[in-house]
Order: sequence, then structure tokens, then C-alpha cells
Amino acid sequence: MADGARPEWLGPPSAGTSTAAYDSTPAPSQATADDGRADTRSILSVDSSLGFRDTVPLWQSGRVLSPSGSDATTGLVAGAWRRGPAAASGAGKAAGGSGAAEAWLAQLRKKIEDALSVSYPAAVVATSAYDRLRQREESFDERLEKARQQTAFALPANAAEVLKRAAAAGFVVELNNVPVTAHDMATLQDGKWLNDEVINFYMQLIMDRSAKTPALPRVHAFNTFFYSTLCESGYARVRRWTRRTKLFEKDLVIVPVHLGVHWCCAVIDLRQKSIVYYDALLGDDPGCLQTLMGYIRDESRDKCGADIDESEWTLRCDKRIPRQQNGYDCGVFAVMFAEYASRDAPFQFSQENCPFLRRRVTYEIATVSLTPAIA
Amino acid sequence: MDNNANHSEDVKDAKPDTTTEHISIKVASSDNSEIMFKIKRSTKLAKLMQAYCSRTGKSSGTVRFLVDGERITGESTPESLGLEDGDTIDAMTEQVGGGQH
Repeated sequence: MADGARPEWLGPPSAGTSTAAYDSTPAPSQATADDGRADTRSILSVDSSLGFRDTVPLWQSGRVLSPSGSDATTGLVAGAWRRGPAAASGAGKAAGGSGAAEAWLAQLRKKIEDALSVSYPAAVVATSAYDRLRQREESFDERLEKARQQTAFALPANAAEVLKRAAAAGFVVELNNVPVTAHDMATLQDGKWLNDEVINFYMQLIMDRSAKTPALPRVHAFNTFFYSTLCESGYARVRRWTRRTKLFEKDLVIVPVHLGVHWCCAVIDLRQKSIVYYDALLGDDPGCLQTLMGYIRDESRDKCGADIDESEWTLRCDKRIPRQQNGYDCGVFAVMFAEYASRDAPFQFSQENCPFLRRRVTYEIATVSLTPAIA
Repeated sequence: MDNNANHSEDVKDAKPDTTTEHISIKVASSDNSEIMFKIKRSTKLAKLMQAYCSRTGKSSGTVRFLVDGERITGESTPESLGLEDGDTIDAMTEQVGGGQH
């Protein structure tokens, strides 16, 4: 609370509860409206200087400033990367840990808006305002770091110790015959390219969690060789890959896509009849979507003896997703797209999270369980 | 073994006992090259995996063996996996990726 004390140059709050909108989580919506009203003048001045219409008061201009994390239209991250109605409805239910983070991000956004929109009274000397902004920025940085951890699900306190022990033991783990060795785990170090073993093991973890957790979508995740085999040799060669899985009884089918030196991820949603392609470099791959559509068609014919109506299906390459900004993290993005999608959760991570996410994946593989706890 | 007895005798009419013990397994790599191996039903597949790697010059750490898309370990045998004469094991090569810049 101390760092959120309302600076006097923002003007007096209009109601006794207005500072609550700043810092408490989650704040009552009444408090937001009050707080917003107090800042209307300054916000409008910024809007008009930018050439925006200036007739919309802050508290009506959009609900992005509401600190309520449960609001489906709220949240910097959730709003920007939301993937559809299923994701919206699933987010509240499944992403238990993200509510606090979303609320915090909403507050953060409000803080930034406030800081940008302040009209400085003549009495305030520029240097003291500068000092205050510096202070603010420092506390902002601290909280941003905290939020990153929250958003990405912080590791338990003893994680470092657990990892040290696992590394000393050579990192040899196995799940459903998919082994991981120290050589594979080394690909999770910062800057390294992930290999197939790491991704395939993670797919096993995702399926394992889905099978054990009735609240989650029923997920089948193919291994990284499925797509390349399907592309090169056609349906006949992968026909038997699902002999022990009733694919059409699943909700989601995850397909890791390996493109020579790049990892992507495609998600087939059998509930919504959609195939979505996620490339962290925002590439287009209509060929992949068509190939997977063809697979679903052939699989339905082969296993169910029924033709599907392809006109009911939507295929798209989603570009409103976290974006890779280097030449080595695509594998991390690909497994995270899969992990978040497997919970119907919005993609709440970004390039900056990748060093942490690499540690997280290492920890999850070493302990053979995924960290996001789903009740 | 009983259900394969007829087939084996068709292939080789002599030595019925030992021939039913052996089956041919095709190992297909991701570039579609194939190598046939004869192996006892009860032999651990680790032997076949080693033979495949030395034959192709691949390091064993970079090859993944799959049957019907599922990983198999060297501890398994044709018997334990239910492999029949002429069945295929896929030998996939390690994949890595980081991005395209």
C-alpha cells in the first residue's frame, strides 16, 4: 500500500475509497468509477491532444481500466491475446492462478495511464515530479517482476534445490517410454534450441495432467514426428498412431510442428471445430492447416466411418499471440502454446518470460508434473 | 507362435522350431530408407537398435524408435510389443529448432 499512496499532484481523490482502486486486489467497481471520475479532466486532455474524440469519459471509454480480473474484457494480456469464446469462458474456471495477475495487470495499466495523463500544476517543480516518477518506476519494476512470476506460475521455494539434485542424478526421467536425458535437458538452457525429446516429454506431461484432471479439456497431444510423417508419407503411415486413442472423444488435439529449424504448434479443437496454428514468429502456414484438416477427414472416415462436414470447420493462423523476438526461443513458445491451450487459458506469457519458462519446463520435467495447479 | 506357424513353414519348410522364433522387422527412417532385420521374438530390441545405428552410422542418442507412433525402449521385445513378421519400426532422427532469423 505504501508505494501506492496517491501523490498530491494527482489531485484529491473524490471519495474515501478511491485509493483502493490503486492497490487492493480486487477493488470494488464503485471505487474504480470514483477514481476514474477524479482523473477525467487529465485523461481527456491527453485524449484530445492525441486527436481522439474527447467526449467519452474515462469510465465509459472502455472497461480496460477496471481492476476486476474476472471481467472477460479486462486485462492487458488476456484482452490482447484472447483466442475466442472458449478461451474466455475457460479462463476464469481453469486458470486459477491468473485472476490475481490479471487484476494486477489491470491496475498496472491504470497506473501507467495515470502517470501519462497527469497535468502538472504549475506549483510542482519539474525535478520533484521527476523524482516521484523515478520512485514510481522503481516500484513498478519490482511489481512487474513479481507479476511475471505470477503470470508464469512461480516455482516452489525449494525448486533450485530440487533441480540441483536432479542435475546431479543426470536428469534421467521417463514417462510412457519417452525418456529425457541430461543431453536433452541441456537444450533448455538459455539461448539453446529445444530438441524433440523435451517437447515430446512435455506433451506427455500435458496428456498425463489432462487424464488425471476431469476439470480440464480432454487432450491428445501427438509427438513431434506425427506432423512430419503425415506431411512426408500421408495418412496411411500415421493411421495406426491413434489405435489406442479414440481421437474424436477428445476436446483438443495438440500437434507440435517442426519446420526444419523452427518449432510451431497447431491446436485442433474438436468442440469448436477449429484448427489454429500458432507460430511465435507470426508466420503463415495455410498448408499445415489444410494437412491437418485432411488428417481429421481421413481419421474420421477410418475410425468412425463417417465423413465430416468441412464447411463447419474454421482454420486460421492466429497472430494475436505472444511473439518471439530472438532466434532460439521458439520451442519454449511452442510448448507454452500447447500448455496454455490445454487448459483453455489465454496466453499469459511473453518473450521476457522465456528465461523463467525454461527453468519452469526444466523443473516440470525433472519432477514429472506440471506446475499450474488445477483444482 | 502358433498363429504364425503356417506362415513360417511357407517361407522355410525346414527347421520349424527355430524359424517360428525369428521374424523380419523393417526399420524405416524418416527419409524413407528401409532396412530389414531378422530377430528372435524374445530378443530385446536394444540389439536391433544397436545394429541399426552401426549399420547407418547414426549415433544412438540421435535416433528415436517408434512403433505406431509410440516410443519403444530397448528393453522391449517383438513378443512384448506384439510385433508380427514384416512389421515396421520407425527410426526418427533428433529434431531441434530455435527460430528463423
